Amino acid sequence: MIIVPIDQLRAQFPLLQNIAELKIGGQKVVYDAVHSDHGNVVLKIVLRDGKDPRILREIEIVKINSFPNVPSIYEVGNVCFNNNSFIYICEKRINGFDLRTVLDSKKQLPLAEVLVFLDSMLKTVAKLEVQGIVHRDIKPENVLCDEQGNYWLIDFGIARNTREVSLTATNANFGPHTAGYASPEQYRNLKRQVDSRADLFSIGVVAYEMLHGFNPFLQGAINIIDVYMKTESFVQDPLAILGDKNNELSGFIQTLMQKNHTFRPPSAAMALSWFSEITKTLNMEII
Amino acid sequence: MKLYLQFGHGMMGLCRDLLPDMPGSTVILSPRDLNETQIENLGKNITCSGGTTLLDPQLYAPRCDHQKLTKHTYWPADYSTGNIDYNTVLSALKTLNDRANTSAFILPGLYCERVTDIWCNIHDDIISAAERYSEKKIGTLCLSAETLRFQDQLDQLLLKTESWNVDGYYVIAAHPDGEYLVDDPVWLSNLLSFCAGLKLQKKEVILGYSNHQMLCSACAGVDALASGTWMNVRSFTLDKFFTPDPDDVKRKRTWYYCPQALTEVKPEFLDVAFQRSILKSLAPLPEHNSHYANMLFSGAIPTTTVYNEPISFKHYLCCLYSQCQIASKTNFDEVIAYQRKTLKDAKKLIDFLHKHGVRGQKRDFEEYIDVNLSAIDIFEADKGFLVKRMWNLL
Repeated sequence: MIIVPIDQLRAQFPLLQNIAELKIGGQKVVYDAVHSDHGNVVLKIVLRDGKDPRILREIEIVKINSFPNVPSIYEVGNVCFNNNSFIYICEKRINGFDLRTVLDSKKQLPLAEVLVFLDSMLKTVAKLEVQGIVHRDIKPENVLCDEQGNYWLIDFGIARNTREVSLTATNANFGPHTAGYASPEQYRNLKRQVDSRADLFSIGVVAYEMLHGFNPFLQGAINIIDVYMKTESFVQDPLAILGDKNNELSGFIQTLMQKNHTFRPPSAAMALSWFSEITKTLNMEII
Repeated sequence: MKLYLQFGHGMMGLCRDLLPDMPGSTVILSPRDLNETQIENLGKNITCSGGTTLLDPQLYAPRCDHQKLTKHTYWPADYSTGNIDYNTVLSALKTLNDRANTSAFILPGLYCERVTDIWCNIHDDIISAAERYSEKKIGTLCLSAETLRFQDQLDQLLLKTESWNVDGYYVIAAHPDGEYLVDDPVWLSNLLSFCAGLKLQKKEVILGYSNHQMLCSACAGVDALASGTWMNVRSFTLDKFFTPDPDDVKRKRTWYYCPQALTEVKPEFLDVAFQRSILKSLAPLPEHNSHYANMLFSGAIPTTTVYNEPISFKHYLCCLYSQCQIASKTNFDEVIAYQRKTLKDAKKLIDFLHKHGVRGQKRDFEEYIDVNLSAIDIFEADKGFLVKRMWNLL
């Protein structure tokens, strides 16, 4: 792992001010900074080989497209430190916390916030779907909640464009995923079956966790096999959601979380349309 | 939902009589019961009468030894799972389908004890081999009771069916313990979910070898039930495709089907109803459109009438034909509500009949009311949200 001294960063990025280290991850170091043109930004220095196709794909997906509730990428390029070349990504800074941090402190979130989350994520995934893109890693760690209460989807590191060649070996036993949030077809590496319905599954799990304060597949699991078993055997009780008098929202979340994608909404666009109808049936006065 | 006639023993004459009562009906021809000339002639007759035909290849059982069945030209000379040339089988079957003037090509399918890679690979091969035929193709999914008991098996199968290039599926669901009526709500709710899954994959679904208990499959958007004369075409059993044991002679009895009670009773129990002056409560309702059993309600003691097996079959199928039509509704809520009401009304009538000593014995639906209600409850709770919204697209 290479730590880049801040003074070297300042030299390489003269338009950035107030550079401060934010996070060191497995693949990248993230800095907080203020850009003279774009305002608050984060600067990501990718530690792995700059030709890593997953990194390039992430950049390509986000930079070429403008998705709602996905931070915009302002600049991408190569940068050299100590005779080593790295990729840098400068993107919009979202002021707030990731959803994991929020859930760790509050456990459960009010329904109104869950509705904003669902609306944001469904809109994003519906747009991704049009481009044939599946995020494949929607989980609280990859959702940011800003100070205005908006939700943002980040980290397209394992996203896949279903219209392009897969980067995972077809005969691999497991596809890239986060256990506890990934759908069965995704972690089983059933590539032909992985489409936006896999993201709908993850959105359903996160919404469930926001409402209940726990992930039903991770709660009490003794190991990863147990997580998979719970994912494939979970039967959801009707959620008692205040204001959801016809159990419409409950049924919607249950349908998102169906283990077999045949029984999930057939597309994110349709899920979004159903969600819009359901919100009209909720009694918002008592929420 | 439509009723298709599942061809079985004694069906030849029945078809001729029933077709005018069931305009546009489809008959699923059975090579087990018909030779190739009969298939051709019957096919012509049915289509001339305004009906349509399908041909069930009945290639379910490895090493099946039923003499009539194995004489067909399409039947593989060495029928084991590993070495069948499906191109040859399909080619011969296609010729037979053409002779029978079928409206779609039912592809052969092996009995599925469990959904295994091998079973799936064989069906991959069959469906791939059928790609060269441009006709409407119906895949066969013949499932053991054990397969239907486990959702993970059915989920695995649904992942496969999604990719198979066919227009529909002919689903044959073996009943637990070979029973005529099923007392297992998990089996039944799984069957409903499975059929709904196929419908959500935009496939036509024909539920073969069915009886009136399967009317609830209207909740899953099933397109057609297939039923017939004897119990062995109203519930699936593999034994039917092996040479019968000469010692295994079953007694044949005549039954009367009371559609509003979903119960069949023997004429002797109709005599009880006659004696207790409640016989009219067993008569079919006008909506069931069956005139075949009128003699039982004409004032004579039922057992003294000429009501016999062929008439009882015609009455049963005529009622089921109407019940299938009535069970079809424009939306999911209506179909579910109708099924529940039908079952609850049947329960009331059965209770009333029991009070008067009228019982259906093994074909009494009393204990199956709860099975069907439970299966519908499970299905609605688990899949209702989606099926309701997708109803018009099923």
